[in-house]
Amino acid sequence: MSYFIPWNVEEAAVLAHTNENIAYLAGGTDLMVRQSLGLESAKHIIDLSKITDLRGIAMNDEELSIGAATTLAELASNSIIQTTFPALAEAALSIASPPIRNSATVGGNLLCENRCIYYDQSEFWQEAAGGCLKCGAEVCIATGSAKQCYSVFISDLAPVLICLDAYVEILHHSPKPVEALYTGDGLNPLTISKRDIVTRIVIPMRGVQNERTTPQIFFQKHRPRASVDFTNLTVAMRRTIHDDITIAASGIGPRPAVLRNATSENADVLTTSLLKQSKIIDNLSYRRPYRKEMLGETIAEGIATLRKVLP
Amino acid sequence: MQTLKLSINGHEQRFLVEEEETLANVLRGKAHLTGTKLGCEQGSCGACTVLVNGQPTLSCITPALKYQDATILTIEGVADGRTLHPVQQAFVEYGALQCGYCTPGLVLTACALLERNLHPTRAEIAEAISGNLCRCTGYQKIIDAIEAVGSRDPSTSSGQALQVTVAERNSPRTKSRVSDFDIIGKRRPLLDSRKKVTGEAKFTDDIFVPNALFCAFLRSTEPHATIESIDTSAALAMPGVRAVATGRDLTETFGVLPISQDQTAMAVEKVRFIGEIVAAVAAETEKEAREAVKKIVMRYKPLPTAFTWQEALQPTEPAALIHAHSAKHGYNLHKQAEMHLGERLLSPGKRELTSTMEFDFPGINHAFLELHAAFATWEDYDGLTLTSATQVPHYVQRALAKVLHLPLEKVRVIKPFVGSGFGGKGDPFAHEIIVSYFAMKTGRPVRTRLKREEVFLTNHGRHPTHLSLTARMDRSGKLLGADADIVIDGGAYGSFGVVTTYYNGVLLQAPYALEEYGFRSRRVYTNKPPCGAMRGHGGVNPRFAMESVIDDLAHKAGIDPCDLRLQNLLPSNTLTLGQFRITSNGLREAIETVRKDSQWDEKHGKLPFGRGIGMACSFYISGSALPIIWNDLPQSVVHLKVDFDGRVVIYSGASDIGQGSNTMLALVVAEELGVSLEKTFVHAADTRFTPVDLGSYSSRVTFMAGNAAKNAATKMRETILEAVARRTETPAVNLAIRSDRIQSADKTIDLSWDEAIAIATAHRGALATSGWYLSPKLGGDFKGAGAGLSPSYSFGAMIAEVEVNTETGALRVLDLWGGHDCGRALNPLAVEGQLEGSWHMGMGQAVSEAMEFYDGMLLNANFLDYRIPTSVDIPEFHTHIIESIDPEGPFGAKECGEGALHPVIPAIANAVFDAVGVRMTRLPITAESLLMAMKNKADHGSRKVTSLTKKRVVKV
Repeated sequence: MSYFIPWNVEEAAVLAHTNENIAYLAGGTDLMVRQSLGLESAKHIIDLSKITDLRGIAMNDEELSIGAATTLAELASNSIIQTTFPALAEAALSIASPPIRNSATVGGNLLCENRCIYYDQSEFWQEAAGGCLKCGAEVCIATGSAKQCYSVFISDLAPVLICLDAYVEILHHSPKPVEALYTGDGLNPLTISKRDIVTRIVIPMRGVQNERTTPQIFFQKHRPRASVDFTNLTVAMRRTIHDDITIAASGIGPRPAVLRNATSENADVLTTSLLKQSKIIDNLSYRRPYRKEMLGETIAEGIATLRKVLP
Repeated sequence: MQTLKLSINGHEQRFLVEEEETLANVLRGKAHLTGTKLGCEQGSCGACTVLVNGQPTLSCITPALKYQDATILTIEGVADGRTLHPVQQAFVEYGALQCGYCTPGLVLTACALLERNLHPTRAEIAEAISGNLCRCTGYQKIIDAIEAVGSRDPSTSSGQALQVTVAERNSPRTKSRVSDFDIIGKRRPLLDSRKKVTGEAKFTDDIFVPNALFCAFLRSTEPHATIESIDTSAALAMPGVRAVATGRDLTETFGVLPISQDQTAMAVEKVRFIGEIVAAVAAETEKEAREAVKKIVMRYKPLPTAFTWQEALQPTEPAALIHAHSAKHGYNLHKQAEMHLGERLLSPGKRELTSTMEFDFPGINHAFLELHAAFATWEDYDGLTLTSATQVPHYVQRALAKVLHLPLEKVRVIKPFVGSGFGGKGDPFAHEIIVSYFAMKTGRPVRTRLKREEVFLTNHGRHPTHLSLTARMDRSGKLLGADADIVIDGGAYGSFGVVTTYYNGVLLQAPYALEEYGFRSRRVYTNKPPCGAMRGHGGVNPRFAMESVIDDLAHKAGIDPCDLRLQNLLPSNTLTLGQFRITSNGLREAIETVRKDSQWDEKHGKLPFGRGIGMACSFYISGSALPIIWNDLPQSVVHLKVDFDGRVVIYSGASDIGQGSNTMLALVVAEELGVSLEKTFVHAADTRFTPVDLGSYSSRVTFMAGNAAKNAATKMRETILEAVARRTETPAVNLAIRSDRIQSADKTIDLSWDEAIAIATAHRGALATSGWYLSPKLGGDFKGAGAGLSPSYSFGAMIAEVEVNTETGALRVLDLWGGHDCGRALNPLAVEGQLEGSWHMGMGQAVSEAMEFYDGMLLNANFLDYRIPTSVDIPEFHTHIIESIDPEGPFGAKECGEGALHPVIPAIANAVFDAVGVRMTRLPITAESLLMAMKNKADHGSRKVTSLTKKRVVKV
């Protein structure tokens, strides 16, 4: 095993392309747990945390740019974020626990591996279970299906960023909207390769000013405990001056569920269209019927809340 | 390997580290700073928190190389020389710690918080520490301590100012009776607090053992199977491997109860649950040992399985039974008990009310923070020495002697600091036997430390339980009778299960007066990790049932639940139906106290829909009156030694596992002897030097070891006074020891302690006394009469106020008002700690904890998915100590560490009923289950639903 500490992104990319079986480490809070469980067996770790280009938050008239290796604690305590995009700060503060947020990064949160109670287990457990589809076995434990993995996308930042039309900059590639990062396939949830480096997350400011001072975003997360736990359902909603609604949710299926520019304000209609994009199955702490019901409930609450702030 | 440069606690150091090595490993293994603890190794518990460049960082999931050149502060660097940091000082004084295992991480997190925010609110403190799990305190005292530091006046020197603040804020919240005592009854930090806040306290895995091998275990991946073959040759050939063992090497059975010697150190011939140890490897390093076990090749032939109590009750072929001894029953039965007490009443009259409810409880794990750890050494003269995180050194000594075929005198068991147990370290364990075996075989010290997943698989936690209970009452509100049917799911082995089978039934015969009570309980074997004793052993689940049914009867009869309970209380000094001898009983005062403090009368039945208040009571043993192993030994013996130096050394086999029993022993001895606490020193839990105490379980230590200590101190006082009397030619009855002085009533004799000791030791040397405690003969002579007998019983009352989000089902426990009768609070600060810790643990079982299985595989063997409440999940605790002054307890004291857990869960469930009108009979009460119950109620019940599409429940 080797541990590389590159000082710039180019150097990191070279290391990634000259070694087999690499993993980038930014905060390490996801990767290291996966390594210890045996779910990941990278032989070469490339530590991105020393690359200053990947850090920091900057805003101009055009855009707000967040370095991918900015920690969640830095994001949540940043005054620009707090005043301009409070929902993003709220989402960051809802993630994991305070010490995790001191290490975990914005990029890491967007690119975090999908979760499933039958997948996030030790090597020993998987051996006893005969493995799950995502661990290379032939069928999914949760559904019995041999084809589809429904491991769940659990980023809490992504729904807010999607509502803000954010995109990511990727080294040596053209930028992608945040939602285009995800395949919807639980086995390989990301559209970018393991060697690609997301450098910055950019929120366009165009349109933001039109919504008076800050974009009106509703954010809600469902999880059993008020700290530590991963999400079981996260919903972000934005209502623009044009009176349409964008909804993005994680904790549903293998990718974020997104509805853009919906004109309906009927929670049931919106919920049904969101659920068409993905399938909720019993693979988190909260079971399927409850997560479905909470999606509807949360959207209804979101509509009511957004109506209040933007009558 | 790379070189890592770190500045640790102001000292620049270089280490050669492996690429994947964690920061925790470097700090603990290479810098020898063992104040940084491992609790989960997955970043979920916070025990490993250190400050990296000032930021709380989880060192267990951080590659050390990530922090090249970083500045690290560990707990060892927090104090300024001998002067504690104000945060440490506050933790000590506020009782913000018990076992001390989470303490280093919490202290560092608090330091970082106060660095950026000197005056945090309580909510900010709770949020900041919400990544640091504590299983002992319930967090409230931790928040108190941090708040106190924040509120100090920065203009004065910090230490002094803090003292003032602490004194002010730390004023007793609890009523204490007028006291003639010098030592007991005062709020005091545990005597080892300082060691715990500085990282100096050495837990088993913190002790450096030179030349030690590491032992790793191979565990069964089959739930129930015959072992066809084990091939260890590849493992033996692995680098660093010194020995390999399998079940055939240790075929002698063991178990904590003499009647359940049903386990072997490693499975022999067949495996009974996924996670059972089948083989072990001792190698030079942990990594080599863990790699080598993977090379052992097992071949299994699967057998039919029983994963649930329902499956276990099915008729089963003998060959498919989990244990052969069940064959006479035809199904996987371990133990059954049946009892009928009192006169059989005629069938219910028309004017009677009855309530029958069925309950389901999942298994609960102790979730102590310290991982199981042990190390063994062998030397031909010394014999075997095992150092282990155990609550029961005495039983471990016996089990080691039995399995390893050693004479008892060749087995020594030492218990160092233990990171709490709650019953989970209360059995002899396979890993303790295997490291001992390897030490004997290799002649090298052998150590082990389990992974958190292995700790969960070791389990011995609270039994999954199915329980049906009927209670009857007349219209006036007098309880008449109760009857229970109980099935408990014991997992694969016996452990304490025979006791649990009885406790589930017999502990319902109080605190209410009944004319008739009967139960039938069965413990079945299933192919899951064994269950055993956990805090409130055997009483917690049936108590939930009883208090729910009583609440239902109160509701049906239109009687206030507090009034109903008050009306039916057993008095003091009475016998229960099953001849439990009730002596002191402070329950009436407890109910009245919490009723008043919670403003119950203004709230019950009167709060808006979604908000509710509920109450429940408790009853628990204060030490089992019958020993596990039948013999004529006292249940606890304490030796005292006073030598020329005047120090009073207390030798006791009792295990301080964080609950503070060492401090209790010192308080009792100092009080009884009349000396200051500083003159005492406790040497405990080392079977070579300390007399037998049966262990820290069944809430027996304060009562039994406390009485033994008091007895030894009485004898020591008499010895000293007689010597002084002889020398001074004064009758001994005219002399007394108080505040380190030996005086006659008229003060004509007035000697310092040292002067008196010089007299008493003259021409004979050190003084030694031995005190003991043996329960009086108690109970009836019918079958099962011995179960639940105790020289004293604790009582308590709890009121919970909750808020239910009627849209999501999310339950928030807002306040808990608890009153617990502990006889006398020898140390009110420690008693409050026990109560609040119990409430926190009960709340976990009520709302978020459950061991979840899939085909015999534990799904949540980690602190992420096994959800113990965090600091932001807890309610406000309103803590009341009720003192009934027990006639036989040491200075009137009885238990406070287990009974307090019982009423929390039903109080919360009864509050949920008051809030939204549904009876929750399955635990935990999650948002999901509560919403489902509300919907069912809305669909079938009297409350109307306004909008089914929105599925909202509206009170009409």
